[in-house]
Amino acid sequence: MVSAPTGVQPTLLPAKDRPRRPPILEQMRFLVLPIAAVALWASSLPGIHFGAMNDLGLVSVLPWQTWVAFAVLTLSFVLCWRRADRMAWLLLVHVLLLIVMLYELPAFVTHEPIGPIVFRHTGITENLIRTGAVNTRIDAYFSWPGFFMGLAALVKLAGVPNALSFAIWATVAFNLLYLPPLLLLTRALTRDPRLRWGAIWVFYAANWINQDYLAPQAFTYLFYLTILALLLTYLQPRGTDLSGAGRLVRRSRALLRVRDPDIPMPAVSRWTAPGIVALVIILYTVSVTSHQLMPFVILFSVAALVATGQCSARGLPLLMAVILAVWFIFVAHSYISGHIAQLLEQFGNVSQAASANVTSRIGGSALHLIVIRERLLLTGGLWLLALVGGIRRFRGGYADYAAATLGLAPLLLFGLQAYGGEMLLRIYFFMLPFAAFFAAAALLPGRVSGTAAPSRLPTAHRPGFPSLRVGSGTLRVDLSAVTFGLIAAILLGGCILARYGNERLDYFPPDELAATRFLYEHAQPGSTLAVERQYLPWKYRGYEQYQYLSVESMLGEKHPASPAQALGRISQALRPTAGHPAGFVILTRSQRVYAEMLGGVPSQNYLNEFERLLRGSPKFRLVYSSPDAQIYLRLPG
Amino acid sequence: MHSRLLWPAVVLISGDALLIVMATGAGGLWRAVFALWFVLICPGASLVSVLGLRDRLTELVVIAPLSLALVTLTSSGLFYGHVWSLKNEFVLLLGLCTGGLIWSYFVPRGDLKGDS
Repeated sequence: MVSAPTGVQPTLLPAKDRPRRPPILEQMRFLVLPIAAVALWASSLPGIHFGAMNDLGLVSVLPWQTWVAFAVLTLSFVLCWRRADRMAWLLLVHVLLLIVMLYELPAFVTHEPIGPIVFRHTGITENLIRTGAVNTRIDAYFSWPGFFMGLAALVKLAGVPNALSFAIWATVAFNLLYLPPLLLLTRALTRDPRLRWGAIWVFYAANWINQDYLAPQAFTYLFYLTILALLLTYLQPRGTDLSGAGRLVRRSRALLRVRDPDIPMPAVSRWTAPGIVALVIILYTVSVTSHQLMPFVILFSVAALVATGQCSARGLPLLMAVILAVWFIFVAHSYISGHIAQLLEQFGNVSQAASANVTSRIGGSALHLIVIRERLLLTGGLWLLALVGGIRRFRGGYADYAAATLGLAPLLLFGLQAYGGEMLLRIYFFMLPFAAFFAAAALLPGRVSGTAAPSRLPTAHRPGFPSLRVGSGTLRVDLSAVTFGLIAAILLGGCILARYGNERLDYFPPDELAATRFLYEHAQPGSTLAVERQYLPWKYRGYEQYQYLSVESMLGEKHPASPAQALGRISQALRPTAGHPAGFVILTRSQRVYAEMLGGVPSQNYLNEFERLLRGSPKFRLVYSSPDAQIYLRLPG
Repeated sequence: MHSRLLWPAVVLISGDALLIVMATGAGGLWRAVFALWFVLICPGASLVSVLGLRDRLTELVVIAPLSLALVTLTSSGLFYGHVWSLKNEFVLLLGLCTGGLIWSYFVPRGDLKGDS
């Protein structure tokens, strides 16, 4: 199945031709700006008041120091990036700082997890720890529980109360974990250090999708990056590797004019190729156990590589398909059989996918619409930049076939299913490493970058600040650095607005968190918990022990309930009887913000009427009240 | 330090540290830090030499994903076997690390010598 690449040796310049590395002390002066950026950023944190946000999200409360801090960091990165062949460690420092400053910004201010989903994931993990078994009848999560099982092991080994202890730092941790495979991946795509580091910077500066919290998606994305990096590094055919390939592969290579990469491969032993395949299978298997979508992304990507003759492990897609089928048949069958009609209905329905992913998502308050349109602009802008970069690279004769193949493969997902209207977001996330690569390529001066370019830069690029008075060559390169800096800054600014545009909604103030703690201290297992909309920090314990009810779900029926009818049905469902403890109604700020910000049903007028009736009802008693949350207990009778 | 010695040393020290912290019943931040380090590094580091990678960057890339994957697979096996517990999980992971180190030791040295 695997043919080990042969006959490729690393290409190294003679020692006398290698760029002289400036003394470390000389390079240390490039740390002044990053240190200033960190100082500015840290000093701005106390001035960020999440409670004062409007529907633009976090940007509405960011002090000027935060913006200046990101601008200074970008400027400093560009200054080092111009000499990327000599300053790898400095560029690494900049990327690490960007990860911490950008992705952990909310956590440093709130010290609490953001968004309701991590609370739910904590509850699933708690269920597994408490019961020691998997009950696939609870919900779909339990048909793909791999991530939660690993998390359960970590929670118990660490001796922490629950997974929320890790949720605050999960975003920065996942993004730090993505960095090594990204380094390997970009090393397999180009020899130009500026293109490598430029792509990595763009990746982090344009990752606005916010799918890197404590979740199976973020977990399996690490495996996605690692698998692709390993395949491109070790199993891209070189020389005679494809001599035994089938006619189809040879034809597709000829049709697409695929050429062998000219990136030097690391030295290998006779164990390397089988070892890489075994490793890929292990990582893929865990992805299959953990996430519904990611196994398909990896399968499509690897199959695309094999079909275009860019992966010598030609049996790998078949093996992956078998693993996927086994999981679906023997483990996830209860979910699949219960949703088969829905899945088949969505399969191949591109118009429905377009409606669910684009049209139906454009709505909400005036300020939130600005955020949505900016997200579309950012996404389209990056893809357009990548397209320009791709055209430039291919016109320049560079062998970027693997990057193009992997960048386009996720698009196959679009017709697979709507994925709750999130498929386009996920596709952006899966394409991002390769879109970032081509976008960075669009910003490089054409003749200096490329797989065939020398690994050292022209001698005109001496350390120092950009100069516009030296010859025309230097002026050209400086302008490319200025362009890169400007585009990088625009992407970063756009990313902050897009990524944290829902923060007013996703931020749970201490009052809300205290209210849910009160709820779980008083609600007995078996009782029913009712809300207006299921958008609050709950379900983090007793996941399967309570029944849940929402006003929103009643409005999705054929004959929507009026506020009085909704309260009547809730009153009936929460009524204490033998074996069924009294239930609670929980009203929180976030549920109200959801209606204000995103609109939809129930409307604000509907909620006002519902709450008025609830307050006046003799069947309910207010047992918890704070500025951001109220809890009503259903009385007997 | 060559990876033949580096990774076994890392695994042994990390495993012992977590074992001591857990055996003494100590909780809090240190146990969380040791556990996170163990879960992220040890299973992968104990087996990475077996793969015959001769590139330090690739080894560093592989260790954390492989560790997380092995922790997930062992935990899944115990859950589906209805025998999951902290003790069983930890013993299985320690056994995996030990087995990986022994396997690495017996891989012929000639196959492990690399150029980078």
